[in-house]
Amino acid sequence: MNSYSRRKFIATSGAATALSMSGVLPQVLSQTAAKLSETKDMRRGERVLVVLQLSGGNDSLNTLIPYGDDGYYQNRFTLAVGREQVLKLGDYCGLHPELRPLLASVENRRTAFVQGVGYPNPNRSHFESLDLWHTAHQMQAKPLRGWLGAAADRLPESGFTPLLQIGNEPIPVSLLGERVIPATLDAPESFQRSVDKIATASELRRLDASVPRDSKLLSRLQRTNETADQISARLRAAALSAPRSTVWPTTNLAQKFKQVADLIAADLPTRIYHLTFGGFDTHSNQEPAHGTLLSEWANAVAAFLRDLDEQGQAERVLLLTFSEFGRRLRENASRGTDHGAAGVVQLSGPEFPMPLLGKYPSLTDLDEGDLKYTMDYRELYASVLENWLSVDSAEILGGRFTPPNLWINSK
Amino acid sequence: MNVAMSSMRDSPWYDRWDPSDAWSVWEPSAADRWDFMKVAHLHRRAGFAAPWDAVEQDANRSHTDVIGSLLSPARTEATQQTFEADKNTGQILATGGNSRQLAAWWLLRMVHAPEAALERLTLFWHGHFATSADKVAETNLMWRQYLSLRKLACGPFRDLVQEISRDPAMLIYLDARDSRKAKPNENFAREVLELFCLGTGNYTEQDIRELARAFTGGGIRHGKFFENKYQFDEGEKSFLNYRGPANREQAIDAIVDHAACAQFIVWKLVRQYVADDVPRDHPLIRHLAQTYRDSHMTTSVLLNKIWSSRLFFTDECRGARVQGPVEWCVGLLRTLRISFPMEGLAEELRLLGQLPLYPPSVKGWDGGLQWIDVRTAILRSNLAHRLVREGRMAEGSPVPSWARKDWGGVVRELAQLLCAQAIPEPILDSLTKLAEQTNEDDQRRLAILLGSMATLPEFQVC
Repeated sequence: MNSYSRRKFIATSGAATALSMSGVLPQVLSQTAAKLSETKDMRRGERVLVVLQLSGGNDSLNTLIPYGDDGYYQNRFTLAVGREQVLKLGDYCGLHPELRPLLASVENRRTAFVQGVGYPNPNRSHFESLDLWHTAHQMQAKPLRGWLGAAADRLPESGFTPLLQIGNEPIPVSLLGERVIPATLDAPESFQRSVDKIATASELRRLDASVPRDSKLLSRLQRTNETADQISARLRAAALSAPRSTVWPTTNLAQKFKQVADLIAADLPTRIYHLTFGGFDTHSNQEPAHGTLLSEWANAVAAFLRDLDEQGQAERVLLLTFSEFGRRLRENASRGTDHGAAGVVQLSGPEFPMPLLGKYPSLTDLDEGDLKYTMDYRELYASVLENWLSVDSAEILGGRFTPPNLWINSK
Repeated sequence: MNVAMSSMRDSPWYDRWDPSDAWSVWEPSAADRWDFMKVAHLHRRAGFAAPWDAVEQDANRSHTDVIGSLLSPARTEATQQTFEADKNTGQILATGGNSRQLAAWWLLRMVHAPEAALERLTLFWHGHFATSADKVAETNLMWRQYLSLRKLACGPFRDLVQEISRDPAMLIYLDARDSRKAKPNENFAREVLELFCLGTGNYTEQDIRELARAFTGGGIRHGKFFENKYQFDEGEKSFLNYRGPANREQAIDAIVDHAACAQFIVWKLVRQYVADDVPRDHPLIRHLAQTYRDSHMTTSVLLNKIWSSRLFFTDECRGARVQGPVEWCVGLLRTLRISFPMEGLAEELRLLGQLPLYPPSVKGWDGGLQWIDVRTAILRSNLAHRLVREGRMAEGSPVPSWARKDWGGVVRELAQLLCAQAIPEPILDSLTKLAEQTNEDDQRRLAILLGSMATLPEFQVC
């Protein structure tokens, strides 16, 4: 039981005790109990999962750097980060210096890195490896569905879209479900229809939602419209909620995270958010481009975590950052790195026992020049599905994967 | 009701049609006239939604003349001059501008060109042989590909594929230049089979490897296709039903002759012109594929058959497609005769997911329901509002009731032009009230009206 549900348990059992003692609950007390159970973190119950995709194949070796291994320096003759610059987490590996904004959260045990995440027979095509990560190796399923879409299909019905992508990319395969309709949102100003400022337009929207349509296609579009109206209304209500003090970077990625934070602050019943951050396919002149990407990533995540803390929502949000593959150990002739295999997954939110989870892959026992995975990503998915979203993972993952206990009080 | 009837009712609409009946020629009758609604539907489907007087005019011509001239409308001296000037502008942008500007130019041509159906068909082929200026840095090569697609759009499919297999922009896009005998590039061979000609399930990985050898030696020199005979693999190849020493041209011939080719292309054309949801191996598709083969896969012949068919004019076919972003806003601008800065429109189309010359991948645009999600539903409404509010409206009335300030009439007339399916009466009344109660000038009133209509599902289908 995590601290949130423990508190909830105490609150409910306390009220029950009062009831059984007096038989009739005095009105004052019952009001207090009602108030109690409505304190911020109790009313906002459900856990949220935010998935960030680093597209292009993030160089995990220059993210979580094995500075204690000579093999790293021998293979990264121009791209290696010097020992003294690495932000050390123990005596084998540490973070790229551009990830400094994450250090506070790592030290508070609210951010951890899972090492050597991958899968057997690594596929080095962006497109195909992403499909594997998105579907949990279930590409043959008909209709095509992703691991997050399939999870959302199994979550309790909330009457509201459980899946949202923030950005203007096409909906990723991972969000496709059989029942749920994933939605995409981008800039905040596009959350509102220009005509919704007109009073009579709201009557039209009510009518549109209530007049039944014969055609399947029209009814489906009508449902999309309805979701749009709901989100739009929620966001307008949220704009009136108390302003928060977090200072957000102006980068695209940070603005996407800000939107997720705003939606969480607005009590949106959405359970799963998906963000994409591209540019990691660093075949040539990897530096300084990669460092810049890491900096944008770290600053955005740090602001997101600060904001959630301020909202008092940090405990119920899990952030998972992945990439379709890592990159080759040996750098290429263009000061870049080619497609590799196992990589690193970053997690933030709950309390972690230690900043490094799993086992760093060997730099000498390689698979065609690439790191061998030490944890199947489907085990990681199993943890997230079972221990975070509380849905059964076997069907989604096409088999039973043992979920490792990644964070404290996983169950 | 008996069991057979109820199962008929539950089956998808396309299963209720006998193929030869569906594609037989539609003839007007007293009960089923060639009227305004049919003309408006034809324009929305074959080209782009058209303005009121153009629809009215065509309703008074014979339907065979109207359909027959869609792909080759007679040019007057005035339209010829516009066309030449317009082409010249494209040429200037192609050599001195960038691909974003060229995309804006193409949109402008779609809005103003008399040859709406030909531009629409060229856009379809562009999505089919998808090539993105994101990767092809030379605008001139995108321009030349556009010209090739347009020139060959109506003719035999074989000519199109032959041309595209030597098209510099395509070869750059698929990393297929300088494919060498020792290390054939399989990317282009794969896409020719999977996306351009046959579709998945009709070839093997071995076919791809063999075919790739037939494409070796091709490259680009000085922006033109070039064959390096020293790098061409002259050996025997074996793919699909073919055995022999095929070169590029012979290989394409063999693929286009494969039985699956006509069916695959017909299926894609039916999705574009008839309905989003007919399956690839459906009898409706197989029947039409035979027609296509009989005409040596001449696309204009096929399209004329589709546009003249009974199925095309039925209620089932009307509103069976989600409108793509380009046809959606080009139709709006054409219908209302609005001028709008096209670079601004290009940016809006990027956000809506269909900026010409920038398809998301070699698969082109998936289309159908993927066009509309919560984000794009809101964007579409806001764009309709913005186009009318910020654009310049031509003099005169966009629809007859406009001059009388009869807003109830305006709403209904606009719906006839722009919506394939009837908007329910209570909603039409609510729209009328909305226009009447708005305290703004007429153009802004119209902007609010269009922005509101664009929130409706009927406004998204065609």
